[in-house]
Amino acid sequence: MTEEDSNSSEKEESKSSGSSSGGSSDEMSNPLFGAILLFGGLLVFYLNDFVLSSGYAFTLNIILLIIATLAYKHKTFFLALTFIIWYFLMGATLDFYTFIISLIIASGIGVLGSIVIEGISSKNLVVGKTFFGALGFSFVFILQMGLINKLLVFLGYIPTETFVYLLASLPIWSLVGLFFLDQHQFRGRSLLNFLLISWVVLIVIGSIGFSTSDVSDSAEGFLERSLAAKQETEKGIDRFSGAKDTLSCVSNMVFNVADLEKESFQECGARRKRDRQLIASCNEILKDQAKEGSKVFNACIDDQKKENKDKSNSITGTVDPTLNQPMKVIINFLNKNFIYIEGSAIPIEIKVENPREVSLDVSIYCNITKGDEQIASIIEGNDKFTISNKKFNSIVLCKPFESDLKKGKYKVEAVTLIEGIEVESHQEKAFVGDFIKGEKLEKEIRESIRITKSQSASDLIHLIFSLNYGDDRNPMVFDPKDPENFQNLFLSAKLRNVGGGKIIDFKEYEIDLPGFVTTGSSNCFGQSNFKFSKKSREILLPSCIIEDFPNDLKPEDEDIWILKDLRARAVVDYEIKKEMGFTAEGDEDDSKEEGNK
Amino acid sequence: MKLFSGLKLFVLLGFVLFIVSCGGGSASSVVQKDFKQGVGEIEIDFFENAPPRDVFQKSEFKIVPIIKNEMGYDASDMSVKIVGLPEEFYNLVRTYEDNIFLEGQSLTNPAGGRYIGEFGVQSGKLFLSAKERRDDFFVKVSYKSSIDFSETLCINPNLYDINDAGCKIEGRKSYSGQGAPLAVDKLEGIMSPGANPVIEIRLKLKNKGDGEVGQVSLTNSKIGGKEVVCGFDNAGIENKEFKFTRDEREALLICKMPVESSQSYSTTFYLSFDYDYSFKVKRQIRLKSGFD
Repeated sequence: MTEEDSNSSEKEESKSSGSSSGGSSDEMSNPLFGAILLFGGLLVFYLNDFVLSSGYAFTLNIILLIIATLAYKHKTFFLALTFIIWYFLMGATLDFYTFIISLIIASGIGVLGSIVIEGISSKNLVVGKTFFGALGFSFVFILQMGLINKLLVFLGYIPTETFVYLLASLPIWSLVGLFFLDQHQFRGRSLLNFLLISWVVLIVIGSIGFSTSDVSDSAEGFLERSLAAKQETEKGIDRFSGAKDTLSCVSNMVFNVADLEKESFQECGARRKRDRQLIASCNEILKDQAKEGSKVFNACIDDQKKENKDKSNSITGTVDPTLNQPMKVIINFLNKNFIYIEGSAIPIEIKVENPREVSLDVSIYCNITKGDEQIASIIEGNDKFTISNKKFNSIVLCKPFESDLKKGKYKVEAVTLIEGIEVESHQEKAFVGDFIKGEKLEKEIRESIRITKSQSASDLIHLIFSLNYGDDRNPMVFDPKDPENFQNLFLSAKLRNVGGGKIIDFKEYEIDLPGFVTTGSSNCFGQSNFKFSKKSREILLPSCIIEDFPNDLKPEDEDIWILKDLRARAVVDYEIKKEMGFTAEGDEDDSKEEGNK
Repeated sequence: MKLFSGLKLFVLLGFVLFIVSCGGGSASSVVQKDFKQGVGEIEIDFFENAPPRDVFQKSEFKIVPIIKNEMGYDASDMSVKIVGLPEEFYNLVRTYEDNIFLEGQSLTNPAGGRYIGEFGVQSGKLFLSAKERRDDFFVKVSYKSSIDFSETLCINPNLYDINDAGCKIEGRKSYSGQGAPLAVDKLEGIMSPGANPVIEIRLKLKNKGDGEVGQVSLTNSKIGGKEVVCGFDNAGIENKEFKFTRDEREALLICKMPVESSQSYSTTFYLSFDYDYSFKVKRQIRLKSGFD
């Protein structure tokens, strides 16, 4: 740079600083680069969601880092260049100390480089600002790549769900871009400042929430958690619940001092989290089949509590995320204020939502009662049909079989019987072979098998089964004959009724494990005409200890494990009832008349 | 001036993009390159669209890994395995290929040996009416290879003799690598002077690669053409084998030799090792029921 150049740029600088209200905003004002960052940041944010592993987001992130450094006036570009060289050419190790040391060395080289290129002058030797820029932009880069977890774990801080979500929900480069927009051209700066302060406040609230303990210390782990947080929000799970708990428990402490004797701040948080988890589990199990607060929902909460207490029966299935549209059978009385007059019939609507297009044999009948007295009744119209469409709607009429109804109050019960519903579920298991291989292979197996529980379609009934060593979350299965393996491989299963009706016949079930040998009864693999209690919403099926399984599931090679998607199926008859009261305006009841006489 | 500044920025931006797109690939000429320096590894790439990102039910596709030896040494007994695809959804004709030999990079073969594997897969049916599922799988590569290390040492039994104008003992030395993932990282020579002077050389072996080193065997250890007694520290001086693990990525090798000369002299220190190495790469396949 010649003297003339530097003079002219100094003049330009003094001109622009004169026109802006503050020196710092002038240093950062570059509308063109600001706009590129703003839109590029949104693009990276979008790509991080959808093509994270493709590397496009990463390359764009690098380009945005360069643009940010170009926009900044304190020769930060050279530092960022050094950082990029370190990142690509020096292996970019994620070891925290190596990372920090390399960053400091890179920054040092950058300062020297900028002095060599530009010479020492009062204008460009603003080492502090140069460092600030380089480290600041590098930090933004790290944030966007999700590598901050290393730092958090190093500081002994386990990020809360809210904190992870807030970080994951911020298009950071776009915010940097907004800062580069000229104050006079972009009049929304005060709004931006407000948003930024709000975000920081939210992070602070979120970060003092209740930490989760299962955080991995890897950067990738953090990134996965960030994405999971976003996906859960898309599913409608409230990611700010941790922060809400904190605020609620703080307000309890302030306003309900007496309660403190019963429950500490930590206990309050733990209780709220437990309650949330129960509600979330039931929402997951029931989908839209029952609303929070309803009888079925409360029964589910009780079941979940019982299940949590009874760890020996702790197999907890889940709904397959690819089959989460619920099957529904809905009975509606079309006329809620029905009044019977001679010859009339009660219209009943049957609605079936069958998203998986399962073949369902449905029959409908109705019962009319007056007190304990049963009145023979018939269905007018087609009362038996086979459904294999996604949606089915029909209206039938229910009326007394023979005589007309006498005057009085009656009840009508519409019953839908679905015969031979076939439910299927699956569970992914990694067959490892010798027990000793487990330690080496566990990490990659857990990366591969994300859902360890048995997964059912969101049907009226879930068949839950598990092949485990007492912990449903362990995806590994070892050779039962391995002398180093002292654990018993346990096969258990249950049928859970999550629809609004009753299982009236359990025709058969089968857990497809060909070649598996048990020490006990082979009924655990399946049986027909299973006897069960019709009152219970959960039917426990026979369990057994697996003594051996086929040799092709015992790989000897130390790198090999076999991923199996185990299958189970059950066939049941299911009944859904709904009743309604109505009045009949016929002749007076004879018996009543006689009594009156 | 503004135009010039803009031009300068674009040139710099272009330069950075060039670095990014090169991804650290070698730009140096064959003549300049020492294949037995730095960290060299076996690299895996995949043939375009093999595996495809999306596959449909009941269709056939291929997984075609391209394995490149970018080390300065041959790799033998190599095996390539596909692990983690559930059998119910993907039927692999074969899950591994073995007995592969890949020549290392050298002046006669500067690109190093290449191997193209081919694993045919028949996709199955999705569970019930699921629209799609995603499966991560691993391509695992294991092989046997070796490394050589040589250094000129100064042996000076007269540490306190100011009249000895021979060589000077250097302190600790560090090395970037010997063209393989396993590397001699540091060397330190300790001289015990006296009536029977002994030189002790301590070397730190380090796994600088992304994979895992298994068994390491010292196959040759010489100072000035004479055998020197070396052993891994934790297993005793005579033990010439060491097992690296996922967590244990370094090993200390100690060599001892009595010094017969009374004057300082420079000599060549040479070591060679055989080792097992394995690494993996992860890929994802999306099995779909049909077009979106």
